[in-house]
Amino acid sequence: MIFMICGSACAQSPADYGRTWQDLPVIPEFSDHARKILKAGIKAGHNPHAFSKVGDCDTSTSWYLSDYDRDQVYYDLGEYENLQGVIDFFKGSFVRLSFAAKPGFSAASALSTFFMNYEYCNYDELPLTCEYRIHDPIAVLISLGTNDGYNPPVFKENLRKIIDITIEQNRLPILMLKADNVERDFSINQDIADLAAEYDIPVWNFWASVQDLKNHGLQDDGIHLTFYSNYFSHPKTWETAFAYRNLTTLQVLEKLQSEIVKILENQTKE
Amino acid sequence: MKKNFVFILMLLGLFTLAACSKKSDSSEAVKPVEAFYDAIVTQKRDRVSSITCAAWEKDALRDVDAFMGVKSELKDFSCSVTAEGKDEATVTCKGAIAASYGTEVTDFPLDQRSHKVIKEQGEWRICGY
Repeated sequence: MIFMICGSACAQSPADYGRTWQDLPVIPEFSDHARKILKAGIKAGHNPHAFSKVGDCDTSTSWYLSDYDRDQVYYDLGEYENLQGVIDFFKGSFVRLSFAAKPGFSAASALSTFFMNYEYCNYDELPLTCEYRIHDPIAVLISLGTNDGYNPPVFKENLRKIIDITIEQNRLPILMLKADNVERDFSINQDIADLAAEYDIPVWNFWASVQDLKNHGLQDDGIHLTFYSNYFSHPKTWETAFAYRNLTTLQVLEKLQSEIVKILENQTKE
Repeated sequence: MKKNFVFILMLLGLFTLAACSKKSDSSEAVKPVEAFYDAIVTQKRDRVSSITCAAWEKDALRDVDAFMGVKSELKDFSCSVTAEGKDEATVTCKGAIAASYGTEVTDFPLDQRSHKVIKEQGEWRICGY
């Protein structure tokens, strides 16, 4: 009832609910444990130049990363030109339509056989494991939680399962804190941050990167992110959330690339 | 002649009874499967524990939660028993779950799934597929 009166006009913050995740850095440092998973993944023969996406409509949309695998007329990096090296390093993963990223996906969807594409996937697989087998990524960008807003208690358990499967296969899960607060008490980002801490894996605070934008980078529905273009030299681009989503993803991937290169160089020396 | 006629009538009656009894058993085994898909499209998680076997309840809940972010309905849906024993039955279904997100509608066909139904505590319960 309070919410109905208050609506989205109320300026509530995670701190009002005793949350702690909001102060996490936008771009995370990689821990020794994360490096260990990457090392094991490379040893297992996973593709060090491939990452997979797990998420919902804000991940499966062509607005997210896809332009970086297309001709450079579709994007410019503006003052972030140094990130072209990241785009070259992970070429092929940006435009890829992940079997584990679809509109309406909750964490449970990535683990449900209902959402399988049997043209490519086996009957004993899940959308998640099918994606991993076919693309063979060294790391996985996991951006879930928005469609779990209606049933928060089960989200953590399902995300935990996704993390377990990913680490068991020696692939590094990288979690993202979402921009919305559909659950109304900021609890889902707390679950994500808590799991990242428990498993000692990277979590990137995308939420923090869009707080200064109008409506915190959200469309009027309070769910979907705003988009203009992928031309970073265009000032209007920076008024919308996808500019920050794509930039911070590239910056996370830059960190990942740096760790992978170090491991590969050490391997050569050994 | 009259005796024979009565005997044939009785025999027919027995066959009819047997057939009816078989049909009644079948429809009972079908019910938890139909209820499972209804729980998915109506998002009634609280119904799951009463229609699944204990071992499969968690998986069933995950399937219900998998459709949390979309609007869904059953399309041309019907189920029937394809094999039935005393405590175990196999149920197959026709039709699909039609899930929509915005203007995009995706059909999830159900005809490739063979559902395992078992008797637990005297009641038919869906126990996987």
